[in-house]
Amino acid sequence: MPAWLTKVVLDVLKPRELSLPDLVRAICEEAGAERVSADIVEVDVRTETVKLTVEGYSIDMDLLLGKLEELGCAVRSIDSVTARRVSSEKTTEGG
Amino acid sequence: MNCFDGVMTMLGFILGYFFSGGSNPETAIGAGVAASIAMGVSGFTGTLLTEFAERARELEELERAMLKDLTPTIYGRALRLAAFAAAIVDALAPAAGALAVAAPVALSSMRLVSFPTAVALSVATGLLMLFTLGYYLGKIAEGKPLLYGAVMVGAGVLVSVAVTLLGGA
Repeated sequence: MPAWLTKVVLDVLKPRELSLPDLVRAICEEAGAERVSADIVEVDVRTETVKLTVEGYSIDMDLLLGKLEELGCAVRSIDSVTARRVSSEKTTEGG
Repeated sequence: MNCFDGVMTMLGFILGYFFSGGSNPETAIGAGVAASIAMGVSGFTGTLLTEFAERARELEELERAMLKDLTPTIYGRALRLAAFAAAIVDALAPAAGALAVAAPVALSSMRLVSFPTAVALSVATGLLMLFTLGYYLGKIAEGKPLLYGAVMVGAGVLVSVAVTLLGGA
């Protein structure tokens, strides 16, 4: 039975020019996430360290990391990952 | 501000041509269009290079802070797009300003107005454009639009008087 990622917590370094609403909106709209939250951990002159929590039915990790890369963010570490085992019936339903 | 340069240059050129004894509108409009093209190309290349260099330096600073190459990101794309957009605007603005001032002379070359009338209309168009530019600058600077407009017109009058005196000498 396959397992889908439902929650990922990342430690992300982002440019200060990229606002938190823009960041979470972009992840929500284009990386297939259903719920995204970002918490500022550290503020520097040109950068900010953010704890990014991404939740969804089935998170595409490659898509998420690719989107963050495109937004100019550097993923420093993947701090937490939650997966859910899915029965074959649900896999068919989910496509 | 590049539009200001275009208007001033064409104002000086038309008055200089007229007061140095020139009376052929075709010659004036040909040289005017050539000057507009030159100003457009100059504005495009100058702005493209300076904007690109300045923004590339800013991106480099950000890359140093982020410890990563930002060329393939939205920041790299924004750098190229913004430099190109600024160059297009700086190419069109002086050319458009110059051509607007030269438009009455084009009417003269079509025998719709006499050349001295066309020169007077060009001066009036130029001063009106300078006032409008100054007024707009005053508005966005939240200063005194009328004062800004008057200063711009003053600069235009100064150029006109200087060129007239030089042409008549």
